[in-house]
This record gives sequence, structure tokens and C-alpha cells, in this order.
Amino acid sequence: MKILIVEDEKAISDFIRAGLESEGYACEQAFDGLSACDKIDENIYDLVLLDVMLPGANGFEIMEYIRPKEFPVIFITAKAQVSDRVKGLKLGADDYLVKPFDLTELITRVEVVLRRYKKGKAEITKAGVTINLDKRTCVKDGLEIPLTVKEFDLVAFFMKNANAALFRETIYERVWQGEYSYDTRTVDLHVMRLRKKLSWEGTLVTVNRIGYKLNA
Amino acid sequence: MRKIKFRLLKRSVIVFACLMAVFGSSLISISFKRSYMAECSHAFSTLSACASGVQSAYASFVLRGADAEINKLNEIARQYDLSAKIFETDFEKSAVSYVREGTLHAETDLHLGNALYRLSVSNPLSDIYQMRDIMTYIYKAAYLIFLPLTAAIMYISGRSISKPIEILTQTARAHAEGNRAVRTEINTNDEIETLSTAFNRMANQVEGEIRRREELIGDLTHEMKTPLQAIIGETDLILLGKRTDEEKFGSLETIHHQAQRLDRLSKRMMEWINLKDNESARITACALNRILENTQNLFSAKHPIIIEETDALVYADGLLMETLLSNLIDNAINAEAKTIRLFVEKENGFVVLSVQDDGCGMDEETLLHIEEPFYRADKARSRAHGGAGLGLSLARRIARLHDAHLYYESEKGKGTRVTIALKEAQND
Repeated sequence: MKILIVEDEKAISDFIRAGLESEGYACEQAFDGLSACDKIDENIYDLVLLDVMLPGANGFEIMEYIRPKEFPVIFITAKAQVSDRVKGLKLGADDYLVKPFDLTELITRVEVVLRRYKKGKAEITKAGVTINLDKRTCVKDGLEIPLTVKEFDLVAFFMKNANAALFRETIYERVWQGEYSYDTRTVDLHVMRLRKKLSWEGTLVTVNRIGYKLNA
Repeated sequence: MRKIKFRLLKRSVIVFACLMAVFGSSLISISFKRSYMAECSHAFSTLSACASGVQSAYASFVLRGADAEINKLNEIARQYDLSAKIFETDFEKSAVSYVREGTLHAETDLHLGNALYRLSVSNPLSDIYQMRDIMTYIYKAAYLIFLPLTAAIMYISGRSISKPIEILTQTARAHAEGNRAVRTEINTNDEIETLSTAFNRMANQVEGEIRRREELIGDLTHEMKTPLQAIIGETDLILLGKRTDEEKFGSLETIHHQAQRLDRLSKRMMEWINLKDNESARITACALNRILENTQNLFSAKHPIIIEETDALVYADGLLMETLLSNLIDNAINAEAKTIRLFVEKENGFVVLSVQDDGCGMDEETLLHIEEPFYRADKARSRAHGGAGLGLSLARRIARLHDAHLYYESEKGKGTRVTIALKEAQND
């Protein structure tokens, strides 16, 4: 999977690259309109992340350039107005990311667009468990294991961030999308249930003073 | 609440009523008195004519030896006035006049021989009474007609003044409640129209000011998004365990750098806003050399600045001038200048200060927009240096506080020169 990142701010471009590479995507970076168009001419990409406000070039103009190639495109912009979003979508963009966004949002949108084009990996297998993100099924040793909505999201999250020690706050904020309060036991309860349902007692471990980690 | 139209009404009614009352009644009363006086004197003159006539008639009777009978004397008297009467009396009285039952009587003593008589004439005053009655009637009628008429006219006049004022008040209220687009259209061609025009102008100013502030805040928010994105991005990567320990150090550096950028942005914003509200600069006679040296020191770590020594004294706010020069020099640095020079020329009581660099220069298009807040000639580069795009807008404000302008000369690829003319201070 090759993704082209067109963004003139190096810090942001690097962050996107690091995030996507950790998900297993190969990335190339272009820092201005001209080199972006050159790269588009020469290579084939599975997805293009395009910053709308580039020095010396209009993101929308580059969009016109990409269209004949039929690469999926996600716009990145600091302008949150509906008019800009509509314009982008009308020009053929597949989705829109508004700065500042966090990694989870970026990766999720990338996955969704890729899945739409049948390019995304719908299945993840880690620690003996396979989940299908489209069908939202969970299979272990050939047996389908019923999971609640949040349990599934939590498994997917652990799998995507396997082998990383994750803070409870982080887990809560990404999976439940709310503000974490320190007296909630939601995350712990769900982890307990997952361990039981998937027999992950030794795999989904508690990390002292931090949270949890999926060893895979 | 008191209203203009009622005040006008009340006052005009009271004034009218009083004037009419005083004027009318005095007029009638004076007129009546004069008529009465006229009647009196007429009566007296008739009386004295009659008296002397009777006296001479009596004298002639006596001379002829005829009998001076009262009746005959009465007839003679009546020739003078039909109302004349002579009658006997016992005691003397002076000539008098009196009114009894609407008739004026005038009497006087008549000495006929040894006997004392009294002659009287009378005159019914019905004429002058009638006159007075008619006048009173006319007065009352006029009163009853003109009082309400005056009241009505005054009320309408009051309303015609207060109506446009009410419109203006409503418009002002609507404006205060947030409807910034309202304006008034009053065409009374008087002071109220002037007020209305002034109000419209003020509303335009307010609207413009608000719009400028909103644009500024919008631009600022926009500028903030990029460093925020970098910070959120890096911290995210770390939290999700996607950075190795070595990489983490790089991430922290990025976070630190971007946070400083936000800090600079916020500081520049505060400077900009403070300068806007703080209209006054402390202008004193300053040694320009000191300002140049301070500026040079400010940049000693970043970039060497060449200054020419000068003995010029200028009217300026030293600190603000240093800020202005710093902004200009920052731009020069962003333009990748190798040499930056500050020099001075004197001309006609002005001290012309120039900042010259050999950086990348600007084309005409850029020069047009150069002083707009947040405008940047080359976004990529100046952002990398942490510029906020506010520098020249700030510099222009400072120049204005010194009653001066900034002049730009630039050629793409060659360099830029910015000049400002300050008033020379006299040595005292």
C-alpha cells in the first residue's frame, strides 16, 4: 500500500508519515504542488493525502490533476467551513480531514476510504484472533465469538496498537470518544470481559501505573 | 416618560391662555373705561352748556320782569338735552356724576336768584354696555376657537420633531441588540437629519471595526491550527506507543518548537491588540543612535546588523521604534539576507531612517499586500522561521503613531529597503 502525503509543513507531514507507517502503509512525501504533480505522474498510489493550502499551488487545482488518475484523495485543511468541504467533495475528494486531527481519526478515515475502494485490509489477525472490520465479526480457533459493539471496537483498537502500552485515558478517549474521568471503571470492566471471552488472560496484560498492552 | 409633543402642547396652551386672558380682558376693560370716560365728559359738557343756558335764560326773564317759572326753565334746559331736569334742593353739592340702573347722571348746582336748584342730565349707557358685551362675546369665541387650534398645531409640530427622533432611537436600539446593518433614512433637512447622518457614520465605523476584528481573530485561529496539529500529532504518536525512545526525543523537540511558535503568535497578537487600544505613544526627544545600538544588540545572537553612527536627535517613542526596527529586521532575516544595514540621512528637519537588506526582495504584487495582517510573501519559509505575518502591520501602526509612513523599495532577487522619516528634535 503506497500513500502520497502532500503537505508543506514538515512537522505535520512527518507526523502523518510516522502514523501511517506504523500501520504498515508505505509513504512518500511531497512538500509543494510541483513535486506532488511530478510524483503523481510517475507513480501509482493507493491514496493521496492532499493539503488544500499549499504555497504556490491550489490544492483544488492539484485535485483536477489527480482526477484522471483515479487515485482516492483525502483533503487536509485548516478551513473548517462547510463551503470549503462541499467544494472539496464536489471536486471528487473522498473525504476531508480538518486540522488539527489526531492519529486515530487520520488512520480511521484512511482505512474507510481504502475499504471503499476494496483496497483496505478488512481483517486483522493478532494473538490468535481474527476480526473482520466490515462484517464486525470476531473469530478464534474457527469459532465465532459474539462481542458487543464496544467490545469489538476495543479489540480492534488493541490490535491496531499491538505491543504498545496504552494509557487508560487514551483507550477511553479513542474507543468511547468521550472525556475520561478517573472514577470510571469502564475500560477495566471491558478488558476483564475480553480476557474471559477470548482467553486473553496472558496476552492482554496490565501495565503497572499505565494501562494495558496487547502482546501479539 | 415626558414627551416632546405633550410638553409643547402644555406650554403653548398655558402661554396662549395666559396671554389671551390678560390681553383680552385688559383690552376690553380699558376700552370700556375710555368709553365711559367719554360719556362722562360728554355729559358734563352738556351739563355745563345747559346750566349756562338756563342761567342766561333766567337772567333775561328777570330783566324782562317775566316770571321765571321752573317749568319754563325746564323747557329751556330740555332744548339743550332732552333728559335735562331742574329741581329744588336744600343743600349745596358739587358737580357729580353717577350711574344708577345702567344710566349715567350728571348734576350740578344752579343758583337762580336766591334759590338753589339742581340741574341733572342723564344718558343711558346701554350702548357702551352692549359694546362691552359684544367684545366679550368675540373674545370668548376667539378663545374657544384659537386655543384648541393652537394646541393642535403645537401637538402636531411636537410630533413631527419627535417622530424622527423615535425612529432614530429604535434604530440605535436595534443596532445595540446586534443588528449591525440597520441605518436610518431621515430627510427632515434639519438638525435631526444631521444627527441621523452622524449616527449612520458611527454605525458604519462600528461595523467596519467589528468586521476587522473578526477577520483578525479568524486569521489568528487559522494560524494556530498548524502548530497545534504538529503538537497533537506528535503526542498522539507517543501515547499510542508508535515512537521508539530515540524518536521520542525528536518528537519532544518538535512539540517544544511548535509550542514556542504558538507563544510567539500569542505575544504578537497581544502587541497588536495593545497597540490598537493604546493610542498614545510616549514621544520624546531621543538619541537615535541609542535606538540603533539597542536594536543591534537585540539581534546580536541571531544576525549581525550593521549600523552607522549618527548624532541625530529625533522625536520618537524609543521602545516602539525598537519594536518597529525589530519587525523590519525579522523580515530581512526571513528573506535570507546576508547583510542588513541601518543608516540615516537628514533632510529638511526630518531624519530619514532606512533598513536595507540584500535578501530575496519582493515583486509588485507582494508589495501591494505587504502590510495586511497575517499576509506572508512566502508562506513556507517565513513559517519555518516562526513569523506570524503580523510584523509589518504592527510596524505600520507604530509609524502612524509617529505621524509617519513606511516606504518600501524592493526588487525581486536584489533586496529591500524600508524607510521612515522622523521629525528631528532640536538640541535644547
